[in-house]
Amino acid sequence: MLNPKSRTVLNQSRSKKGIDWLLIVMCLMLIGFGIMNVYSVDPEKGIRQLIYLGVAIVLILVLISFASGSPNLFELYSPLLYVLSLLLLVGVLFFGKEINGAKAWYNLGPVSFQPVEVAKIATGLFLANFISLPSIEINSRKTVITAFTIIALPVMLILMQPDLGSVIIFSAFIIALYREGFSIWFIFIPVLGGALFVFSITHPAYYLLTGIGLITVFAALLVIAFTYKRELLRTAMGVQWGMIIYLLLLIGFMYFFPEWGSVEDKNSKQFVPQELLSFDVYFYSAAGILVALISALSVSYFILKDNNDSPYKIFSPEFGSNRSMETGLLTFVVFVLVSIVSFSSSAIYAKLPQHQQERIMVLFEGEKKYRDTSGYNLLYSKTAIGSGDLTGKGYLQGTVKIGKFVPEQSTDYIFCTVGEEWGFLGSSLLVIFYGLFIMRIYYLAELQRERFSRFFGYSVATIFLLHFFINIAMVMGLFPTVGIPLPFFSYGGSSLLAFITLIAVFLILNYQDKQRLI
Amino acid sequence: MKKVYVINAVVLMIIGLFVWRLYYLQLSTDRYKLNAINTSVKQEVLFPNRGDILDRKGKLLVSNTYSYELEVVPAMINADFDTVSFCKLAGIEVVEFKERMEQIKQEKFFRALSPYPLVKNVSRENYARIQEQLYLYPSISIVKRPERQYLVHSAGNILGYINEANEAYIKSDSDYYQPGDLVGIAGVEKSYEKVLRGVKGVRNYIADRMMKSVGSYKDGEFDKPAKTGQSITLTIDYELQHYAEKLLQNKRGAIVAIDPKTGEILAMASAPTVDPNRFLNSTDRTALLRDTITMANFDRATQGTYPPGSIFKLVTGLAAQQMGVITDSTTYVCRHGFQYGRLRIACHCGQYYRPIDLKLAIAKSCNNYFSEAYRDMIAKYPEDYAKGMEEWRAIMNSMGLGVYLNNDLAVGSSGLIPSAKMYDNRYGEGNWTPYQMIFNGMGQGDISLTPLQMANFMSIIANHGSFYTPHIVKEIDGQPINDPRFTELKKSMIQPKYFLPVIEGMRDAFINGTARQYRTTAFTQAGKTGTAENPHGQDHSVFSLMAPVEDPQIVVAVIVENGYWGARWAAPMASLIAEKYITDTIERTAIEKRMMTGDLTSEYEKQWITYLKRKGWYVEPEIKDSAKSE
Repeated sequence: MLNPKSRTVLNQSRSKKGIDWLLIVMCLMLIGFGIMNVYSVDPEKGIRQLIYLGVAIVLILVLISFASGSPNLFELYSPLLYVLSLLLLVGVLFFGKEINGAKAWYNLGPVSFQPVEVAKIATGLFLANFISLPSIEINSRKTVITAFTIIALPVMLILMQPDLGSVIIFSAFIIALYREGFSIWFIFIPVLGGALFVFSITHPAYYLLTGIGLITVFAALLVIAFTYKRELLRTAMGVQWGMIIYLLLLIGFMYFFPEWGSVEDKNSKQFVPQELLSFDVYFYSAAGILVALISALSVSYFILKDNNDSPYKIFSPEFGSNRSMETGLLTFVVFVLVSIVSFSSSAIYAKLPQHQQERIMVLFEGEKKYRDTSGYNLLYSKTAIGSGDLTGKGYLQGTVKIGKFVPEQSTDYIFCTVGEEWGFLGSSLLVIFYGLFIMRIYYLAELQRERFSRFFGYSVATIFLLHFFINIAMVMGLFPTVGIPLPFFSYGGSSLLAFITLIAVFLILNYQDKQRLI
Repeated sequence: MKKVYVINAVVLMIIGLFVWRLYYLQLSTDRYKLNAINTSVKQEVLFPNRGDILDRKGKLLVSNTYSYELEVVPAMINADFDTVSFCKLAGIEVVEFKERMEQIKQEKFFRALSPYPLVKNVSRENYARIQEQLYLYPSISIVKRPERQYLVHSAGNILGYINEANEAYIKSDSDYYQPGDLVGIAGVEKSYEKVLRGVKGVRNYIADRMMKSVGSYKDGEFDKPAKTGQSITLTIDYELQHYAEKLLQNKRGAIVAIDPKTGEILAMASAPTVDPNRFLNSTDRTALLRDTITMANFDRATQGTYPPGSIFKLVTGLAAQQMGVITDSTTYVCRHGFQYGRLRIACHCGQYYRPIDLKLAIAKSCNNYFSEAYRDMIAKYPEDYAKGMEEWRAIMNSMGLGVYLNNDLAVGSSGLIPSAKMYDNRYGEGNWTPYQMIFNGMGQGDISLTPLQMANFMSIIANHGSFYTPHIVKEIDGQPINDPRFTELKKSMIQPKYFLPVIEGMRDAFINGTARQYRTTAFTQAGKTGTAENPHGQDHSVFSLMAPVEDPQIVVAVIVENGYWGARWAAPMASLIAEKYITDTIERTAIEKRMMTGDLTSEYEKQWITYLKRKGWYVEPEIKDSAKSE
């Protein structure tokens, strides 16, 4: 019975304050627990982290005072900030300090900072600015290209450092764009492509491609079997024709170039013995061709029968409708591209430096094999976590931590200490709480009425999500090793400040959004 | 809106994935927990103090001390390491240092993070000085190593020594021993190893990547303190032992003295005597082990097998009575020796061409009597010599002859008492007569005994037929031993009544017999001289004694290699030992002086040259005449 208008009023008054205390409290709790854990690893660093927190809070208060002065502060300054961040990224390649093989830091006496942190915020704001322009048409070619350019510029500069981890973080913006309307394929394709690339290292390409081909044929078969919609049938038939051509080609390549995309690296796991491989490929491809042929022909038959036409018209050249031809061609092209990715991956893998190779292999083969090199980190981080048992060894009492077996245990591997000292209960609780924190950001972002703040909110939430996911997955052996810190937990003044800034800016935007009456 | 759900779903899936993974790592598999304990918790073995060794009067003979050693962890030597000043501090040459580092790197299973001994035997004085400066060299540490401290300079054959355990040793008790452990290798250190070694302790500590300790594990909850080894009290009277060794100096041979009432060995000297301090130093130890000329490390008292010579006549006399072929009144006529066909054995007993009884035969040491008695024993069953021989042999074995005594000494020999089978092999089955081995009766021929066995059968005589197995330890940690091997009385096959004539004969030896020079008014003695013929050279001087006769407190067996005849060296020594033990002083200092200053080394050298000549290896030494100059 409440009319919509009063509901809005109610909504407004509920969040009239505009300051989301829940998020602030959760944030502070995470920061607090994070500092406790850094302290456990190294009391000196713990104290310093506390000081950094203090400095960060002061700076944020300064920022807030600026922002309360001008309501559109971020929108106004975002282009300038963006250009500044690009310059900083260029500059670090020349003036930056080289650590662990990457030039990612500016060392200015007592303080040092990474330009990538600035770039994250700047790109987020600038991109938000861009897509919230009134004249924007989401999904137009121009929009897509511009958006990707805005992302690509800093990414390329970061790749030159090189810092693969941060590049992955930048994909957060793609996810935020998806929320704003970009097609999901922009997410799927890189992810699937990446997965295919990695799997092609350890499994023979032909095998994978045959498998994927078969899956596609059967998916189309299912569509054909269970639908009556004419258009869908035509599409599915197109897919089948495309697959037939492709699989024929695949068999041909298998015959003439059997060594392509094969797994020569003797370290990797052979999924199938090489002798059987060719048989499998021929057999399954032939089976796929057969199934595709039958299903495609049956569609034609069905359609022709429907049109009371002679079934023999299948074989006439005019028969193909535009739709199926297009679909067929598209399918074929897509599979050719996929094949290129698959075949090239083992060649590219072979060119990677050894330690990068090992970082990938160690996930497939277990850390025991690489005990002395890349596997070492993983073995000990899992040891630290795994030895935590149900309740952990107790605060400050982790033996693996004391023994300093895990490298970088105050930064990238900080979660190991959590796992070791707080056990299953403690670390699960932290994971759940952190997840809820991120979900809160998403929730608040979704409530934003302005595209700018919503997009920025999604970007912030996704950045946190990616850090959270990659860091903890890496530490537990579910993701290759990349240098990604865990926000609020990993030691480091500039990273702490950067993450607090992200949250703070979003909270300010959130507040401003709530204050608007329209 | 739908997209929001997707994203929230993704977040939830990630949380679920992580919780599942945490479950797997932390609760489901033990692998990581174990790895954590394996790598970060380390154990340090705490070595216990080895038990002390004391003599029967409580005098401390062997105890423990520490030697200091410099250790290096090769991985920790960095570019700052000042080799020159370190070598100066440690008192070694730079060349030595470099050589040793090379040596270390070549070691099997070399690990740069493990410590290796760099400089051994750093003296106590230097320890303090070096310790101060060690902070400059983080790769070097100074380590205390326990070492045996010998407070005496003799009785090396009894005390033995310790050294690192070898593979066989470790295998024998693989639960306890580790490579590098110090264990008893010889003497009582070996035979009482399990008592002396104590129990190792363990200290658990948390270690970091560089294997350095960063704190105790669970406040020492699982630590175990080391348990000091138990001390052993030897049956040896060190004063007597030392005295025996002094008597034997510059000669070779053995003296064994036993308390017949308990079987405790009062002294067991083997000459050349070994100073156990020489075992501490590996060069000396190797030199000792390799000395095949004087064979100093060979314990003559327990391992040396000698033809006993005439002292064996006591045993023959007892066995013959037991077998019933003679009585104490049986007589034989000595024709200046024993004759049978072309076989002729000389005799110098002085009682020729008249019947001699057992008592007299012993006192005068008549060869003929005991040859005939022995022949009669073997020929007890005229159709079957083997039967007689085996009967005789059984009696021998029951007296501890020809068998192992099964005591607590580290080494020993069973000696040799021949058997019918042996002669079957030598001459063909059943194809032999007692005349072919007639020398056995006199303690020559195929008979060989160790000085310990000789002393032991004197115990049997002193006790009229029974004995306690001779042993070397009487108390462990102050508590008397309760090993039934040594606490149970054993009986030989000879009945007590047969001992009387033999003892009287032995007593007569001191009154008007072969040992009459050495009687004393202080106490009564009974014994037998022996001159053991030695195929390799000069006869050995042998004597066995018990004193006082009415209630024997000590029995002594002495053998002096190449000592010409029994009364020359062995008899006076035995008598002096008894005097020292019973009266605690020596009145007969002249005899004592003669014994102590006696020197047979020229005799030994003569024998050695004869041996070399026989082998064709002898080279005449070039004597440079200093008068002639080039």
